[in-house]
Amino acid sequence: MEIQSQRYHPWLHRFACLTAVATFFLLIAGASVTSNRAGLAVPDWLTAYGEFLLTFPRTKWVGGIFYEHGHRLIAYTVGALTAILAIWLAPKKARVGFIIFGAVMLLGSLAAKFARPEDSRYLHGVIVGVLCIGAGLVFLRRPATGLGWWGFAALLAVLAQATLGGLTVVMMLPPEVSIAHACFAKAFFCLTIAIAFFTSRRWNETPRESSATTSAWLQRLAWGLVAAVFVQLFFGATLRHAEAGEWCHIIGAGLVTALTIALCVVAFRQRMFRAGAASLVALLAAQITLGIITLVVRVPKSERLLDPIQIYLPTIHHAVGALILAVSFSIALLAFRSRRSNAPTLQRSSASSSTDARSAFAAYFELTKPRIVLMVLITAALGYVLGGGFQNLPLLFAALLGIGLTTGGSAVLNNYLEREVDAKMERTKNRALPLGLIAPSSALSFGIALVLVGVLVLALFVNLLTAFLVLLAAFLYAIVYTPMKRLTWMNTTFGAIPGALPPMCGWAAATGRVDAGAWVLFAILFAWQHPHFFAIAWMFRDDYRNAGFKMLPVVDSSGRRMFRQNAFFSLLLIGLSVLPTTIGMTGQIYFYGALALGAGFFAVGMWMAVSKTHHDARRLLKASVLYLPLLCGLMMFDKL
Amino acid sequence: MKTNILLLVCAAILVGCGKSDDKPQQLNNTGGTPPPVDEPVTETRASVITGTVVFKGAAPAARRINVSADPYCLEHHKEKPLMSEDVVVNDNGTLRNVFVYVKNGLGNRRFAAPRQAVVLDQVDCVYVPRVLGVQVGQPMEIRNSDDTLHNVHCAANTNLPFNEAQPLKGMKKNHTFTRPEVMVFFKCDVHPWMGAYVGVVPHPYFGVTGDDGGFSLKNLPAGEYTIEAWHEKYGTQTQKVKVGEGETQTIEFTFEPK
Repeated sequence: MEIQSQRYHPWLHRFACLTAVATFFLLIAGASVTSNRAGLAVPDWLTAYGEFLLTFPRTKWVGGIFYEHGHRLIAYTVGALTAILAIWLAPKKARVGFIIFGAVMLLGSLAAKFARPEDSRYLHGVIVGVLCIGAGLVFLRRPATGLGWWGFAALLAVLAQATLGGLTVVMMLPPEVSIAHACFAKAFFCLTIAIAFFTSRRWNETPRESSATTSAWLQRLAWGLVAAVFVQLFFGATLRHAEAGEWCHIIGAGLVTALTIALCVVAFRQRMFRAGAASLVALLAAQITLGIITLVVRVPKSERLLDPIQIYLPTIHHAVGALILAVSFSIALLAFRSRRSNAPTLQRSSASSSTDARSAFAAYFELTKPRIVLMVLITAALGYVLGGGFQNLPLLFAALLGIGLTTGGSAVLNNYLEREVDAKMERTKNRALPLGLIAPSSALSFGIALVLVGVLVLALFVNLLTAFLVLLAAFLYAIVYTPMKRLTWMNTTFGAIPGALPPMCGWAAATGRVDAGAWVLFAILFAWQHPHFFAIAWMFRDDYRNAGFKMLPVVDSSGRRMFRQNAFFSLLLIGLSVLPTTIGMTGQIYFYGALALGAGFFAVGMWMAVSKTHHDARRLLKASVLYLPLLCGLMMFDKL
Repeated sequence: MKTNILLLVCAAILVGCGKSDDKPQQLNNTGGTPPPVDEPVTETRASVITGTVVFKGAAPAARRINVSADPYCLEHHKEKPLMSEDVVVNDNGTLRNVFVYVKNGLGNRRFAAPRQAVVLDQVDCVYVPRVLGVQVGQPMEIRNSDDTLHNVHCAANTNLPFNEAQPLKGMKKNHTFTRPEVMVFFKCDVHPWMGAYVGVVPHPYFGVTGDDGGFSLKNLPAGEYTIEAWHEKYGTQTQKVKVGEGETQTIEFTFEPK
């Protein structure tokens, strides 16, 4: 028992409960929007009368706006709670993924801010970004829960539900969409209840009552009741939004009553279900009474002068309906748990969870060197935006998709070519190919396929110039740079060419040309990669030597040549980095910012040249990784 | 985003409309039936159909509308409370806010739309006027004269519906209906009591009864017409009227609560 209770985390359970309770209030808020005929009181979505959703002043929540806007604010809260819950429940690697996603979101929305300063919608991206990064960092070191998919499902569901809600506004309340929004809300509610149960202490202990005492009939009846209540909710929604299905709703009420009675007969024999069954009976009695009065005082949807009773009764009826669903769903879950040992539970917290066998998917994913792909995508997006702005987002998406696939493919090919050398190096021996997780032939076909699909996407949906440039980069990286590492110390300079191509590809995707600006970006990235790779080479010089790579610090172990080159390229970088202002692409702010960044970067490089320690090489690596996004950010910020 | 989608839908429907409008005309030309004739509305040779809309029975009492949901509306109806206006019976026993128009009988004549815009205003949390008519292709200006937030929600069925924010005083929206529709309902979802009805017809022969309950359809060509009277609560009534060259015919509609 003690081992099992270790898995249980009280705050996780409390948080899941909070999410479920907040969802219940969200359902009531949603119902009162319909009751008050306020569904279109705020004509715009993601904004409120053109203002940012969260700062829309209270004084403007007049009339129907109060209900519609209130519903949106509560929905926003539930969305945030669900996102946090999903990250909490997620496996460790997925949490890293959330952090990366948050960072991309943050950068993207800040870029959007500079592209269209008057549009407040970028703030949603900032909030999502901060939320993902924050929650990801907070939960990063927590043990995996084993319920990652449930959290992710809830997150997807809440996003889908938000989209449906947005559609009700954009499409001006077509009944089908409103009904879908109402029904899906209850499905999401059930999901939050399920997660609350899965994270509870009682759920994670072995069932106290053996399967013999919980009859199969109880479980069947309980699930049947859940289904019947769902049907009821559906006809309730059709009644409200399409003024149809009155008799279905009344007949459904009979069905629910019959099932409830049958369930109670079975459930009252077991102590575990007695309280649930009793509250079900009480709720049902109240609900039928409420339902009859609601039907009596009902007015057509078109009626706009409503008595308070005509507003409050349907809302209360709706809320009690949601409670009946919650109780019957809980009974069904508990019955299921007491009869099954393979129900979803919290994972045992053990050290093995982080090193357990990687799934094939994860192994293939890692083969594409996702971090490099991400860096490439960021620089390609920079080139795209500097070249063509944010006008055509689908095109940007297609370009990034194609570039991402091709880059991932070349990384796989690189992994394939270096699989034997990687096995000799401390840094790389845990990659999928040296470990034998993936057969070399599979990796080869995977890499080729990715490159081909990526180039195809670019050729079809972007333009031939971009496809050519990306293919060139893939060729230079996989076929020229990779073998060259073992031939000459010049490999860093040759490798810097494909590494510097992404912004040019982005530029070409946006404009169909390679202008001076694209060349400037290329030059900056070309120079930047030298300090970046020198730092890595210095840190892992012993590794490289063992593997037979002719890096500069391997060729000249004193490091003098490398530091000389490092100083040269750092100074060159300063000169190149001010070019965007010289050619009129950016302004004064960028000019001075780039100078300051370049000087700082140069100083870190010099410091390392003096100390020559591993620690300072790592600092240079960090500085290089920091320098580039900062420079990109400045460029976006000061784009003329 | 929303406007983009709306524009797209507009464009798609306009393209669709254009096509469907063109084809029957071409068919008409080859099929022997005469093409539409552009008809100038002249003062001479003109017939008139005039009349009143009478209300029979006991007038339902106006209900007091609770406007407390918006402090601005509350402030502006402090002295004179806002009453429901779905049925307004004039002192002379006639019914106000009835839209009367020529439903049938104009054949395939076409009428140029006036350039002068009709105005639908939002004053003291009420649409002014409550019932109005507009010709297809005639511009319509919807404005907010209130210092509070309104949404202009046009719940058209045949025409394109829209829902637009007018959060500030003095905001205006110009809209032109492309198809006949009796009636197009306008509402404000912020203030659920607010409603307006717009009759969109393809000719200039329409009117709305005012405080005398009368209407007058002037400058009609001679002919036999179906006249329809529409009321938001009591539905529609039609009458057939034959009017000769330069004649004036007087008719009467009678609405009574069922």
